[in-house]
Amino acid sequence: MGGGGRRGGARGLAALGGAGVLLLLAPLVARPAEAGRGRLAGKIALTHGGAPKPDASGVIVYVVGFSEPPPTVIAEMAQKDKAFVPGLLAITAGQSVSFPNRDPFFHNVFSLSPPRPFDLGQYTSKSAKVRAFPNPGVVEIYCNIHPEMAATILVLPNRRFARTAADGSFAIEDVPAGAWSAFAFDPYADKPARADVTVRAGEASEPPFAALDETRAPEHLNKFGEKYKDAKGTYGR
Amino acid sequence: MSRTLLGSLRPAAVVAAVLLGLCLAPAESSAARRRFAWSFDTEMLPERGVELEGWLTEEAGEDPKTTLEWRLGLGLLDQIEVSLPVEITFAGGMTQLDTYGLDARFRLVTADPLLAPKVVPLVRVGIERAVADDAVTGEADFVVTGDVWRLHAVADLGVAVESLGPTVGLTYGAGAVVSLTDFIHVGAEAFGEAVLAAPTPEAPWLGLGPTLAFTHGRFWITASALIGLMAAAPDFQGRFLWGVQF
Repeated sequence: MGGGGRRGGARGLAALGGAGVLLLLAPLVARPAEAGRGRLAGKIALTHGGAPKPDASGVIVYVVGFSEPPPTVIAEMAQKDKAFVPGLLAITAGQSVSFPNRDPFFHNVFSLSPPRPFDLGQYTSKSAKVRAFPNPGVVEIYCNIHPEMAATILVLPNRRFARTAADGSFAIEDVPAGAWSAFAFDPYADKPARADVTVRAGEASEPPFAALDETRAPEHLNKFGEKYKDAKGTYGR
Repeated sequence: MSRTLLGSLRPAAVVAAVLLGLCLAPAESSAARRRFAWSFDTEMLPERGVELEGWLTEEAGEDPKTTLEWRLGLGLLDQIEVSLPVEITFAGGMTQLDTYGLDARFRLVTADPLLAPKVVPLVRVGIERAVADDAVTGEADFVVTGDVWRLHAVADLGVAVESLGPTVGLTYGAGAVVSLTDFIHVGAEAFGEAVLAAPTPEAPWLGLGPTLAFTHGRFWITASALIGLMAAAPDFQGRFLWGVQF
């Protein structure tokens, strides 16, 4: 998605609807057998108020129904030019995220989202703080100093996710064979698109996603639950 | 809401409605809140967080007095907080600057709300100068809090060494509050002091009473009233604390 800080919105797992429940239950589901993996590929269409959007990049497509261990690499969400970069980050439950400050002034990073509430305090340029994200869910990230800064961390139960290209295309490799639910998450859409899909070993499957309509008005409060002093209440685009 | 409708509501109903509204408000950060009036708590200010605290203590008995203490707190790191307390005393028709000092609290486990253990230890050290007595007092506390379900409990054992005398004293406090909502906590506290070494012996004392704490957003308020349980204890000690974070 690239453009950090282009969105906001106080949402939690509820925003995912059924996907949120599935994310929570995912760790309870047994890991699939290693044998038999296939490919998920397709295309996401984005609209804005019903009109087609030429750039459909940055949507995260993921699969739920099974869990996988997180990678050991620490993901990164930087603060640069008064924005979180990237503005949408997908990780696997148990993975850690570093929040380096690359601006020459103080930033704060906080979240009030139930899967992962935290407050990193205020820290200066060239320093970073790391937090682990053990619980699956949608974690909204903000800066208590700069209201225009907003981002989302999508904590997923497995590593089978991909980010769409500008034409909306995506491909997820090595998906275990089986019947799963696939989701396409766009922080500007009211809820993710969902499609049930059956993955067969050695074959490619395409989840039949409906178009995502970006109509959500981003808005959030500061870490004390108050409106920002110098904000109009709506941030981003 | 129209003026007529407002006028028809009883004040208690308005207060109840406001409290209900606050209780149903969305979650927010409330670090560094204190849910006890006589024992230290273990929540910390985030790094570079700033808080202004006020403590108002009313003591009735043989030597009645009122003290007002202001504390400017600063989160140095997520687990280290310092504050600058200044205390003013009103007693015997006189008002005076009583003490000022420096206080530091070290939380011994992570302050991360998701990863913190249920039992949290904390060490507090402080030094204060008594202006009128021209004395210096060093203080240290070992504080442990525990959380089970909606119960938050504390035990606080402290020692104070005063240059005047010199005097060595022990403080002991314990309490527990139940969170009725995320914002309202009710319970009871006990607090007492015993002088271990002093030029003139003093009897130990202990008080016990109810505690009510309210936390919301950047504000917290805690009130407690201790009733003296021993002959040497003040008949009554009321304490009202508040804090606002910036």
